[in-house]
Amino acid sequence: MSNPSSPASSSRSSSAAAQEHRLPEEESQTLHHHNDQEVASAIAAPFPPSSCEADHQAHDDKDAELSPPRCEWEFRLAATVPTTALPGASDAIGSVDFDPTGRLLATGGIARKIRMYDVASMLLPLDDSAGARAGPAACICVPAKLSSVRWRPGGGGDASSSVVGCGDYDGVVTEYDVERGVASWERDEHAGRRVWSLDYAPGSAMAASGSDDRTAHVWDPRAPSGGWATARAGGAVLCVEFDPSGAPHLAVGSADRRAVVYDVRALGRGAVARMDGHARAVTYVRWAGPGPARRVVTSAADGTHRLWEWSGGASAAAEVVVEAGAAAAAAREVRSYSGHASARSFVGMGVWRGAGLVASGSESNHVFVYDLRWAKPIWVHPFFASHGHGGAHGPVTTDAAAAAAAGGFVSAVAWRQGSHNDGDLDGGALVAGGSDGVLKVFTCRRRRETAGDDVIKKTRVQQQQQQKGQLKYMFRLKLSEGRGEIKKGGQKMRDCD
Amino acid sequence: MDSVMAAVPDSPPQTVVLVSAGASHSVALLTGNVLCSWGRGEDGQLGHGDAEDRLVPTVLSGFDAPGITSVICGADHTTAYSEDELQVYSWGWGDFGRLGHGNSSDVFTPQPVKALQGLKIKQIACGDSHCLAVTMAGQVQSWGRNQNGQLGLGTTEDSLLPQKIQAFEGVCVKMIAAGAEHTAAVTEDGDLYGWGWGRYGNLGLGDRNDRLLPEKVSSVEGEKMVLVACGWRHTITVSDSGNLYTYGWSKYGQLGHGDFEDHLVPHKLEALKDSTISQISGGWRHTMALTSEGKLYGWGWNKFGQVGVGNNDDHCSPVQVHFPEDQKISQVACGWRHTLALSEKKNVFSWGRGTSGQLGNGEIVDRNTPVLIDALSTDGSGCKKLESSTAAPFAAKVWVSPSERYAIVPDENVPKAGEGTARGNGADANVPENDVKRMRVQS
Repeated sequence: MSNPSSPASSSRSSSAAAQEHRLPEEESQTLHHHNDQEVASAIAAPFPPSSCEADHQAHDDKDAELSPPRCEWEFRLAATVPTTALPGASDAIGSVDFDPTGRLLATGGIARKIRMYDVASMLLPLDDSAGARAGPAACICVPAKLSSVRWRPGGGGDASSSVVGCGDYDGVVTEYDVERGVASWERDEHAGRRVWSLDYAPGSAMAASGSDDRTAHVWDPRAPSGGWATARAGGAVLCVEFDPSGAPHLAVGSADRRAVVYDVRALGRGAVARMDGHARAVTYVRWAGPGPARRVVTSAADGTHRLWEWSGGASAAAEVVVEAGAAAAAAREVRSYSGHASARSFVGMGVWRGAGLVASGSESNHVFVYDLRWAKPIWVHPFFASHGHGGAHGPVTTDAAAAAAAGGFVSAVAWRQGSHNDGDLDGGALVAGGSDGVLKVFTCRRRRETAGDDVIKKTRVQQQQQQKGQLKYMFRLKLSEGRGEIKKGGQKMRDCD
Repeated sequence: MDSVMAAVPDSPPQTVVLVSAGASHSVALLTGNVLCSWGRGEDGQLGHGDAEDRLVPTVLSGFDAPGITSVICGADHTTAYSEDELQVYSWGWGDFGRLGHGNSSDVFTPQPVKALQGLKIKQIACGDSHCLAVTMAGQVQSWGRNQNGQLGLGTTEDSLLPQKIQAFEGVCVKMIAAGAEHTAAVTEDGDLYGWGWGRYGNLGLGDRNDRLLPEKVSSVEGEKMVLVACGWRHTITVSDSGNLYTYGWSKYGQLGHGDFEDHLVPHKLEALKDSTISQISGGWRHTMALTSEGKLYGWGWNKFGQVGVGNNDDHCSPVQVHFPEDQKISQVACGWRHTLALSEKKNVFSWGRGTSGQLGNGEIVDRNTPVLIDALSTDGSGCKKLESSTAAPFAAKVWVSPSERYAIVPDENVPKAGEGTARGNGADANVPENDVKRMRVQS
């Protein structure tokens, strides 16, 4: 895969270059004292420029495959968090997770630490905060390398989570009390085989872990020393995720190239849906937003993400347990997304359910964002460490190609899904972590067509800031570029918690 | 060429001199100045120049420092001392400066700790992420993580290089021991000291506070202490009369007093009061003690069989560990979840967690009774058929990038159950087109 690079440019793009999604001058909020402006240049897939008519057809999925992807979203780099490790220490990030309120971020990786950040502090400009805030708000040292960290969903309401769970390379799942910085419990039931993935069901009704021992365990986190249910796969279980809508379904991806969905009330009865088609180990499974059909996005080491759907009803209450012996529904592969590189390493994948966006890292050391509607990426951003603040890969480099050659890659991503307090439905946040320990926080907002919309948006943002005073979005309000975009009324970001 | 064969005396059989165990790896020093290591190798702690696990003892064939007298494991790193060169070597996970090289890089082959060159070292102790060395003169140098004062320097600043503990000026330290984040010492006068993380009472000072400087433990029944060992969050000490005392965390019974209560000051182990204890070792959450008659006792966490008594139940009182022919044991070493023992007959046994190959018998299963390590034992192949490192010559410094040993997708070609191809934690189950781990050689 070639490393696309584009000169940083602050000029407005012409309409003919509508397919190049160059970001205008960036205001990067870095957490160190450099005055360098880090420009997040972005390159879309090399398609010929479209005409306005192609835009009109975007509603039609089939035509959307052929017409170039339109980027409704603008991304900007909001913060770069350099690694806080001592010089030369290994610091690859394996997992990043926002807590359900979106206010806290936890990361874990090879460094055997859970680092926790206050998201609002990360997004504040340097000259605004009382002293530069470099580094995490809290850090817990753990005994083994971490593959996954997950905030435990609280009891609901506005409270930020105070418990974080993690799965580690010794096969142990541990929960830590964040305030006291100590472990509250651990379970060591995977025979010492690496835990690859950990997830909690909404409301912490259940937790699941996937391991090298080819099993997924499901247990009640409120009674962690109690029993657990086991699902077996043909290979190491690399990813698990509960249906975030609350339906009793668990998606599981395995090194045997398959992803399946289980009904957790009857794990032993087999899968209720199967996704066959990946050519390599399935590294991530993430539920896509609710709709008429159940949808899941998978990632694999074959360099693709795939969207699958199967009909299974949407209502959890009406769900009937699959009868013993009933064959699992074969999910239909809706679309395959490619452009990123993933052949040997976990590169991260996350779905922003409300907006229908998929983010992933890449072995080419880029962050990729796809829109579920189109097979090619809508945004690609090179990740190399900014000058003077190298990661843990040996010599600092400002060259994406050199960083990739040194083995650097984007290894973890997470979207802020949005909390019920978030009134701004057209903005989002994405965090990406690299194999050098560097974190980057991006904010994005949906482009608007007319100035009128911008005014409404500005008012809304100001009201939100006055009322909440929590997260301060550094939106740059721009007039539309007058491309005659059709306003898409249907796609709203919904709170899916 | 002369056709007469000169009478060549048989060289004495090679035997194990001492063993040590880390979080998931093990090492042995053999006669003839040979070092072996096995178990988890992901962070370079085995010293073979790569990041591979080893399921059987493997010789560090590229390491030729003369006169090695000790090799000590930390959690994810290893140290060795060459008496001939007066040189300490270290390798493995480097975070917090625990290797003493002045940085936090991981090291994959033994490298000299230059700051300690020329010092006559009596003993080295390694904790999770800090290390200490006692010189023949009784002075102590410490380096590594110091967030809880475990280096005894009066601060909480990590130290990438060894520093002398000034607080021991005028005191002659006899022996030192390091736990997860705490340190203990006994002096030639028989006094016991503790410093660092102390929240389970593991410093023996009667409270649950950390200490940034060495503090003397109040005399226990007037006894003089001669030995000290640290588990993860507990401490064990032996008096000159052979009595054993334990203090600190006991959630898993690792103090051995018949209950699961923490102790904030040294508490005598009544169950062994009729034995003279000659050697002790602290594991993650278990403890081992050796009597002068060669009997081995264990207690504490036993989930993986690391106590070695044939079951997997935690024990809060000492239980004797039995060996074939009731042979006497001369040394015991506890890792995090496994245990090694060396017998007077020069057999080496291992038990406990085996998933990373740390038991050294070629398997990855847990064992709850002692199993002979054939390659190292006189009742086995007697060190005659040892595997060797096949890595690059040790003159070159090798570095395996984190991308080569972390977050690698396991192979989808799953071995059938029973096949011994699964090594370690699947770390080296490479995807087919990338069989060779890329290594960078730095000068």
